[in-house]
Amino acid sequence: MGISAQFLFLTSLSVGLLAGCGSSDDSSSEPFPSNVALAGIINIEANTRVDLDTGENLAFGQEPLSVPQELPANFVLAGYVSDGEGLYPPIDGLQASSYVTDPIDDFRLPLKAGETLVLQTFATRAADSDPGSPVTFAIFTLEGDLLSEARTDPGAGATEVRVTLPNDRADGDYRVVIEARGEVPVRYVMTSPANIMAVGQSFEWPDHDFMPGEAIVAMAPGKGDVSAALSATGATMSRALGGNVWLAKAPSTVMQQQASRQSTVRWVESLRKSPGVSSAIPNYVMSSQAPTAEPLFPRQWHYSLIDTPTAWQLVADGGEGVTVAVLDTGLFRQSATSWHSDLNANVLTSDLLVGSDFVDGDNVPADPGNSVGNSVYHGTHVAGTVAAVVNSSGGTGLAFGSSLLPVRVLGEGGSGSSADLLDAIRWVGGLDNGGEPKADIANMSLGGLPFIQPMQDAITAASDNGVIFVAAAGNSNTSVPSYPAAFDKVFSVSAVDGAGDRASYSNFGGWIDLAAPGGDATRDANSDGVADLVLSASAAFIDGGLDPVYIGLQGTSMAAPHFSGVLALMKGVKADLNYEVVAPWLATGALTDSTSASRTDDLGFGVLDAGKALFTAISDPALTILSSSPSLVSLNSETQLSETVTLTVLGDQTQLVDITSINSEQVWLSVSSEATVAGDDTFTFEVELIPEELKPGVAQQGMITVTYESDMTRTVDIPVAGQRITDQQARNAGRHFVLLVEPEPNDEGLYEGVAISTVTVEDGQYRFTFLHADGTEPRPVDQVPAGKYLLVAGSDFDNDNLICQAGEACAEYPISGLRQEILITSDETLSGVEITTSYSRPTITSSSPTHLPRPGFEGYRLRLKDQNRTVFDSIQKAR
Amino acid sequence: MKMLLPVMLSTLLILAGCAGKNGNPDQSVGTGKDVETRQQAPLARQITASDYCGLTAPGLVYLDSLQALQAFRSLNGQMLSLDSAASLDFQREHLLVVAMGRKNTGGFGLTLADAEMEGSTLAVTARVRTPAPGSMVTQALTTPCVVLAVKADDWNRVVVRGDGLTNMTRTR
Repeated sequence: MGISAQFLFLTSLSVGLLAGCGSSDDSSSEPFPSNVALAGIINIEANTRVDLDTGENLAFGQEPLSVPQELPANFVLAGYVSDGEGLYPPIDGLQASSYVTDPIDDFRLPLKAGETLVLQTFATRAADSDPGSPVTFAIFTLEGDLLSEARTDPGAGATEVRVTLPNDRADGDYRVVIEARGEVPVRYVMTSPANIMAVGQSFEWPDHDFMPGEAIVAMAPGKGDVSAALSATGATMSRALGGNVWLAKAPSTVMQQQASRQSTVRWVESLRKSPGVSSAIPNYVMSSQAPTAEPLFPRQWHYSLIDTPTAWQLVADGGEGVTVAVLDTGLFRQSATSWHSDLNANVLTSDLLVGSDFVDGDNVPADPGNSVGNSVYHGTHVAGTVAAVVNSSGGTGLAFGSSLLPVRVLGEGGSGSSADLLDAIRWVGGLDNGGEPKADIANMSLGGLPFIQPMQDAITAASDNGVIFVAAAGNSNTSVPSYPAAFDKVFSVSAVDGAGDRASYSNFGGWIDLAAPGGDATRDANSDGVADLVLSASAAFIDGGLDPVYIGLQGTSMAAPHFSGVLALMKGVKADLNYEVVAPWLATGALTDSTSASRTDDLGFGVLDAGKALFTAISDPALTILSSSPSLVSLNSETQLSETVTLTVLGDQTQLVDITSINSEQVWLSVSSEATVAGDDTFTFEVELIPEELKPGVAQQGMITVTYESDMTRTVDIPVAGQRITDQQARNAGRHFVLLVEPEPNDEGLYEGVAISTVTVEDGQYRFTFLHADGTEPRPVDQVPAGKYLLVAGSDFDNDNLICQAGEACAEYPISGLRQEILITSDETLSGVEITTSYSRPTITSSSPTHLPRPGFEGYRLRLKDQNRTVFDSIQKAR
Repeated sequence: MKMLLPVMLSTLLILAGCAGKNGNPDQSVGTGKDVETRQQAPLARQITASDYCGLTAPGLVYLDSLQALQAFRSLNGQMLSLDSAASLDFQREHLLVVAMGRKNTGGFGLTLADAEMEGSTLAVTARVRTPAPGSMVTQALTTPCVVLAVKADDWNRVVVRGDGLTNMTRTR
């Protein structure tokens, strides 16, 4: 089986909530004031946009937009138009609200010839029993020439219409106009082509090794016009690559075939037979044996955070000859002869594993997973961070050249006995029969033990034998020492998020030695569009079998192996490395981002700095290298089209540094050919994205290689990620009303609201908070008494005091259509609850796009039960 | 309008075609005369369980159709193989996901212990696994749950109890 095919990249989004958020078991871990009853996040479905002059906005004084609203190429947008104004008919308990005039919504967006937009309309309550107002939907040139128009006919049931940019029109920006043709208001949803076709691999790295539909074609000299020569094959010239070499793109017929990779190969074969073509090869995605070239490296933000690329320049073999013991759940074994395919090459041979399974004693430290249900293969994940191999598939480990000694001390459900751990420590330390230690470094991503003197004694003895111990500080957000991390002679590692701040769950205190990336599912500090989870090896059921995959997890379990990996790299260049050497370096800030010897209870002596640690370990005064900042260039067409890369001279500053070349083979990237001297010890160069060379929504990765002369000829590889349109931060589904409602509807079938909070979008998300009821009368609308509730949220685009109607955004916990009660107590904080809002409903299908999700369900009323009053006034204040 | 989103796709990729060690079909329970329903469905049986269900708050999720199951599968953060659940006869059995909410470590889990009828209430007892104080566990955050198939008919309320578990109820 092909390895690459097996590495389904399970984005951190797909597992992001694993460890997400809301806590019930440990109220001490909440960073919120004690009066907070419920706090959480509403995520917004991809590509969601909102009409900026909805009825709700207009009713509260906003003027209709006078200029076209800009939209990206991919979107699903909801909005409101009305040719008249008036009052909605009152319904039970709801104050009559008004609708105002907004006859035209005008948009400007990029369209390609032949592309189709879809509009669906929904009648508002103002229509009463009428089918609602018709609407026209049209594409114009920017100069105002009509190109395509359609009109809904609600009376005839025609509430979905399409407009198409004619095929003879050039790709470019066009105006799209939605106009009300009746007195009563209409809600609508407009959808762009990409969303219609339900493509969506924007966060998934392609696992193939060449670009489908592309080829590098070299023409024979003097064979005339290139385009003419290739027109017979249907190819188009996309880009000159210099000389007679071109990037050619396949005709659309090639790409429409299901197996586009195979069809690309056949197309390349046909190119080779074309007159005038001297050679044609697939546009190979560059691969190299550099850890930064691993397909998933760009998603392993946690390595760049600690400047691992600099460390890798200094120890190119990735810690070869160093053995790291991972005392954990064992490793995923994908066959009788192979461990996880991204670890296998680094795992010690079976004869060296005899005695390493302390759970069932079978000499094979395989992780069988939980006996019932699914497992995440914790030990595999931890081991992957230490030593996943560089093999052009999956991600990389920090010490990708080191040897792995899996030691199984945790069994079912990730639990184990202290006796087994004690035995394992003695075994690894070579204590029982006077033998040699089995490993140089021992990682323990486990915790929860009390102080145990015999275990301290074993660790001390093993440390004296040269084994360096690293342990996870624990996830209880407490300063109470957790063992084994708090033992003497064990480096205790707390966790930081993508911004380098202590993760909300991480333990802290005087017993913390340093911090390393552990992830935080509630943050996207590096703005890569996915939550900051640590990505590493695991296994999942795919097509009926367990296969190796990569997943994101969070915890101090993920932080500890970062230090173990860096220690392995250090050991690779300093053979006599041991605890007594490392501890003073740590305390003087030589291994962390700390600029002095100061320490804090949150981060110990600071956040691990792999580059600095390797400089310290090598201690060669003549060494001179360039460090890249950023170490990973991430470009996208919406927010980051270009980047200035700074190269800083590290080490011996007196050494002359001469940059001899800057190379990139990616056609979607423009890189300046020379670096500019920006200071005594810095150079800069520019990187620019060429979005037209990227498929919308599909992320690509590449590499810039800078070659330079210093104390020797060296290179620095800078991975580049490029994406055409990432809409994460631009997502907007309009102002949201967050409601806690009674779990059961009343006699009229309506859900009674108990508390409400109003939120607006911020960086593509909404954050909401409810407070405990504190006895204030009348109870403020955002205070909630103890009880069981449903958590729902949505927009009210037509301002009729009902949210979650068709054509409005809606979110329910845990997911829309599957409401689940949430228990609010009178004194605890339930935090980090996440829901996702969307215009789509789970029950909506392409054949019944306008059906409501529930029979008779009209949305949730913006009205609170006890006070028997609308929350109109409060909402108005919020608006 | 049907939108398949990247995140959903990636979740579905994990779950697609899953089978094998998904659960313990023999673990059907029910006591007394109500062991089976009129349609010979056991009161409750365990389909699967996971430490990573993506449900961050404790509670019950009730799935009474394949459509509801598919919606549930779109939830972020699952490491949960639900293919055997997808072959369920929803005329006969529905699904009940019992979630513990977010936990700070490994070592937590739920399994089905017993089920019985109490009038019109389906009373499910779960065996709750929590790490003993001072025991050694993995230090990654988890969201444990158990997925049960429960009989589709003859009850209007379900209650799930277990040592250390707040009683969870669901009415239909």
